[in-house]
Amino acid sequence: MKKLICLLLAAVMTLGIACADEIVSIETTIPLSQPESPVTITLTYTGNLDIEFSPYAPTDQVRATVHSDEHADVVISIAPSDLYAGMSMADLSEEDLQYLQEVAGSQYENPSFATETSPEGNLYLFVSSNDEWDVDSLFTIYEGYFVELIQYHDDFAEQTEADDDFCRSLLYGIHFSTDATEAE
Amino acid sequence: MKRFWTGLLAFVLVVALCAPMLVSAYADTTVYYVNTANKKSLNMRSSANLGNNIIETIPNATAIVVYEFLNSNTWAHIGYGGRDGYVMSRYLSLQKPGGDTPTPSETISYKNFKSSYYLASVKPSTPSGYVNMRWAPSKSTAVHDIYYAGSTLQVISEDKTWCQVYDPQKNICGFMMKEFLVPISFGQEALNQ
Repeated sequence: MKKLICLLLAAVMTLGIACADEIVSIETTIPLSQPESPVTITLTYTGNLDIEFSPYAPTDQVRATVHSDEHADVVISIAPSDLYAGMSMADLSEEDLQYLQEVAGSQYENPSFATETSPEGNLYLFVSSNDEWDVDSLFTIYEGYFVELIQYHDDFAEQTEADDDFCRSLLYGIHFSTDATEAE
Repeated sequence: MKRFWTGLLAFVLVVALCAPMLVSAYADTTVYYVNTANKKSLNMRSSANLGNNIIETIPNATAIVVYEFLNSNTWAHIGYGGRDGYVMSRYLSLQKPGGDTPTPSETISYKNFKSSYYLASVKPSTPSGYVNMRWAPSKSTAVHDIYYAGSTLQVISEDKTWCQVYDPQKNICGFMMKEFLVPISFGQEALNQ
C-alpha cells in the first residue's frame, strides 16, 4: 500500500512538472512610441514567443515581429492616422468600412474579407490575399491608431488553420488601455 | 541726397547677395496634391505630430508645396495658403486625384516602362499596413517581399500603374504599384543616396 502511494505521488509530481514546463505565460507590453500617445497595448500569450521590434519603423509607429517555432510569423504594426483621429473602428459608418475594405484589398486581384470582433469588443477587418502567395492581415482602429496583425511565411507559402489560430490567439491577447487625460 | 543714394546702393547689394540664398532654399520644393482617397480634408498642423496643433484643413485635391519630408518620410513640411505647416505625407500624391485612370495591370508589358530615377517612400493602403513587391508588374505574379510605411526605394522605371523599384539595402529589385509610393526626391539628390 505504501509503495502504491509513493508511486502515485511520483506520477502526480512528474505530471505537475511536465505541465509546468509546457505552460509558460508571457506577458509582453508593446507601448506606442509616440510621446503624446494616450494608447498602450498589452499582448498576453501563453507559450514561447520571440518578439523582435523593428528599428526601421518611423518614430510615431511600432512594428514588432512575433516569431514562433511552428507558425507563420505575425507582424504587429501600430500607426496613427490623421483621417481617423480619436475614432475607433466601431465609430465608422458602413460607407467608411466599405471604403477601408476596398483600399485594404486593392493590391490583390481577388481578395477575401471578413470581420471579427475580439473578446474586448474591438471590431477587426480581416483581409486575405486569397491567392497562391499567402499574406493575411487583421486590423482595427483604436482611438485614431491603426493596429494591424500581418501574417505570412518567409516564402509566402499557404497558411494553415493552425497559423490562423495562432494569429487569432495573439489578437485575443491584445488589451488596449487609454489614458483619457492625455487624449486629444 | 547722397545719403539716399548710399542707402539705395546698400539695399540693392543686400538683395543681390540674399537672392541666391532665397532661390536655393526653395529650389527643391515640389508641388503635390492632397489625396485622402476618401475625399476628406487633410489637417495641416503647426508641428510634425498628432496633437492639439491643427492650424488649417486643406480640401482634397488641393495643390500644396512640399519643402521637405521628415521623420522617415511620414510627415511633410508644406506651404499652403501663405502659411507653413506639416501634414502626414501618406495623404499626398504627385498626380491630382481624379486624373488619368490607370490601365489594368493585365495589359501591361515591360515595353511600356520608361526609365526614371527618383526615391520614393512606401505608402501602404492603411497606415499600419504593407505593400507587396512582386516579381513582375502584375497582381497575379508571385510576391517577392513586403515593405512597410516609411521604407525608401529607388524607382528605376515606371508606367502608369507600376514602378520597377530597387532596394539597395537588400539588393533586390521588383515591382510595386505606383499608388503605394510617394516620390520624395529626384535627380542628383536621389543618385547620391
